[in-house]
Amino acid sequence: MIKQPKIITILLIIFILLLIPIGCWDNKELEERAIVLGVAVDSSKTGDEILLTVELPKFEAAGGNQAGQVEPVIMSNAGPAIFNTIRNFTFSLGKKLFWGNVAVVIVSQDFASKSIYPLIDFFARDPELRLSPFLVVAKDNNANNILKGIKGQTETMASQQILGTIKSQKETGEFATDNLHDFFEKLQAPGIQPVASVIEQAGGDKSYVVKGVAVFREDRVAGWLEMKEAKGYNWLTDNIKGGLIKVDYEQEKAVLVMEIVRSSTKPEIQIVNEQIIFKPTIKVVVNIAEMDRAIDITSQKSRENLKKATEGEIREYLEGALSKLQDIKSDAIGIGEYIYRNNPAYWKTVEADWDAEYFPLVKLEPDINVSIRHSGLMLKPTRLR
Amino acid sequence: MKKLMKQLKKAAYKKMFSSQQETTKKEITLEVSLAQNRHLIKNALGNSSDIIIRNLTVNGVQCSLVYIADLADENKVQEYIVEPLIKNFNDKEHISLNWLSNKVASPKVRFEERLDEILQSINAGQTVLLLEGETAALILETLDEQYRSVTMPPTELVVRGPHEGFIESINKNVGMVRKRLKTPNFRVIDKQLGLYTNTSINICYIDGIAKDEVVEEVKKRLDQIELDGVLESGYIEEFIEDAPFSPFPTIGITQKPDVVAAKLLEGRVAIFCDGTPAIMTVPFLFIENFQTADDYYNRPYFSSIFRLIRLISIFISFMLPSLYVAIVNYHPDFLPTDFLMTIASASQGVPFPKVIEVLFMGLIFEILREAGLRIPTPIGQTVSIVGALVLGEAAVGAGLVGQPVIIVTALVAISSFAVNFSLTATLILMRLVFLMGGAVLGLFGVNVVFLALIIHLASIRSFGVNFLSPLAPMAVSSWKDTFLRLPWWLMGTRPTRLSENPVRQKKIKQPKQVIADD
Repeated sequence: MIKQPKIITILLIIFILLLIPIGCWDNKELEERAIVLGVAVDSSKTGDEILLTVELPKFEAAGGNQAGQVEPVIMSNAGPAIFNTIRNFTFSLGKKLFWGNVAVVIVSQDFASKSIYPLIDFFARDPELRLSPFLVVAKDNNANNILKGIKGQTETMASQQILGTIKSQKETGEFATDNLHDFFEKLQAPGIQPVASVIEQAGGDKSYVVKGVAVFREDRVAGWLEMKEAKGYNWLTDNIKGGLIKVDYEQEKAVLVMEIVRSSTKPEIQIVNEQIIFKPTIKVVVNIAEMDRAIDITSQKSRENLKKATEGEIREYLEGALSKLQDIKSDAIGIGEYIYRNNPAYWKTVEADWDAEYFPLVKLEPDINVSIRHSGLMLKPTRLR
Repeated sequence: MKKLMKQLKKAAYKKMFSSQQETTKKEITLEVSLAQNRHLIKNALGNSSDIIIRNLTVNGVQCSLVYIADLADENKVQEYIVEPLIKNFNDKEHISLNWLSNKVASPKVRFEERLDEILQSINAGQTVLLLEGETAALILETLDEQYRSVTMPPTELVVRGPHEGFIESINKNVGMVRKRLKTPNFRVIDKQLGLYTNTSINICYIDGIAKDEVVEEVKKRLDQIELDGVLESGYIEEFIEDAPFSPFPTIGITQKPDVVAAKLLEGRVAIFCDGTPAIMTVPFLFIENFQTADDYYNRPYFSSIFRLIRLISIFISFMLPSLYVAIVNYHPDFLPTDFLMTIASASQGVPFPKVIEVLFMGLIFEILREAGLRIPTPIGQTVSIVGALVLGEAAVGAGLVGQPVIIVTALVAISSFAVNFSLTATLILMRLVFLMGGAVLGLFGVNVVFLALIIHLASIRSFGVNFLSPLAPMAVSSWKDTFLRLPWWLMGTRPTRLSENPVRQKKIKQPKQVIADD
């Protein structure tokens, strides 16, 4: 009889104690968080500090039945290291930055050519940050200029518009789609060098363009791949999901545009007399999208010719990409990694000087197989009189 | 805790029954004199004004009819007893109780000597016929059987199944079930409960399908009840359920005779109580909360889809508010950016924490529900106008509550109506516990509460059957009627653990219709 109330009291006390820590350390109301959508990282003018710029959405209070309007807010802060810089935001922001939904990380060319390592390390180490944001290098520009300069046209927030642009890579195939996680993996893996997309400020009604690939050697930018080379790079790494190929069809003096439906790349490497030969098998399915002159494509022979011309075109893309990478001396394709996986004994002999010595000597012998599937809604083109 | 309750109960009973038990010790029987007997009965009933004593002279012998006005049907008294006695007037016959019993037209006739039995019969609407010179009385059935008509029960609406529902008469109710089970194996055990109410309780089961142990257990538990009055089956339910402290009911309640018949066929036992349309069935399993009568009458696709929807809705009803609070406050990175921004912009400027918002809106909904139940019908519209328009719209408009919370509350409200009505209070309680877990510890807290809930459900039993069966302990053979409802021709066996006789149909044949080509 006497013992019973004791248990009840203890339970009550436990329950009340449980209620008190509402607001325990991970608990934060959404209004107290500032959701970071985009981050720009620059070296400060003096060069010894990091300049961090974040893009935050600012919500107008919801009134009536209208959901609140969103407006972008850009804030910058400098500090000796990334974490310090982030903490410095608390002096002026009034909210705690929330990093779970970062869409893009823009890095200036300056910062990227020094060392991107502190950034990657911080993103990989901190529990709130993720490795999912896309990594973009601002070529010939400061990263914060990009973030500030973009007035979102299709999205309110600049970061989300850049994210949308990168996600639409499958339409063009002319830039990289590596996020921080891919970058981190490639940084650690043997025989492959990381890459990032490139963002450039553009004139006219466009505030920016995402175009080309920034090739890294270890944690520094080593060179750039332009549009055609970028496409070739994507082809070599099996990252083409669509896009267009312009084909000069010389026999008929016509220019055709092919639309890529599917593409797959299977790497294969042969080592003949110390000569490394990269032999990717590339299968591409294309549709005819456009032609500037009326040519007959119904005959077996003309199609065969057209196929050959397209394959030649693709070969140019691949060769352009590889030779540029060999100039940069950075194996971003991962030929070394392929050797490491399939021939670890041989890899040991070349590992030390792979990028500088052996990779530039790799020969390319692609096996390209194009099949032309459809010709749109027209079978025989309209003859001009 | 339990010990304390038991002791309190015992003490209360002793006080209640001590005076009663002493008087019933010595039995009083009738005397020879009619006047004396009349006096005896009148005294025992305290000269109540509604006691009617009608004196007759049959063949020169005095006799008296005793009954209670309104409880006994006066027409029946006239038709069954008075008319035959007067019409069969014959000088030569010797008038005795035996002779009278052959003359009266009442469907039930019985002799009785003991006074307390006689008094009980009078109170049950029967008429007592006393005869000068006899120490026994004739007890004749004249109960006024006027009840409301058989209608569809408001809590168990069906689209296709029978629209019949139980009424307040136990005889009629048992009859409705027996009408559906035309088998000699249908058994009814009669009991009286309640010292002052003497309520009839009937235990029904099908011999050979129901487990004998369960029937015995029901009898045993009913025998233990000492109560002054039983007005509704709820009075007994609380005495015989296995887990009185659990928020989950372990006894099934239904108001539909077809449901009771189906449950008896699965080996369950039904307990009828006089004066209530709510019939109890035991053992009651957790999954029965998701099974409705319509499931078995419609095609299996229909039944299975809606059963799954009911399962989803119980999860929504339990966990949605807690998940909302936990994810938004602790793990906003779970949400896609656009979704997060929508919620963030909707909760901008709302002065309260999310938990308070959710609790507040939940409370308002429960008040609305209760008010809607109690409000007189002519002004019922007020609730919906005040509730929906003023509270919902105005709260959002004034920026007191974010729109997502309104959506959460509305979803929870709708989902809570998709499951068994008797779970309503359980849902509210569990929702609160989940919400506390989610608000204090985030998703971890929600998980802890969920695990605790599963452990609790797995630990309770209903009349010897695990409450969670056939999920835990797992009996895949019974899953034919758990998440899905398979076609009848695939359900050859009864649910395991319920029945003595697991085979439902001996031959299972997939129906094949062959139409000869002409």
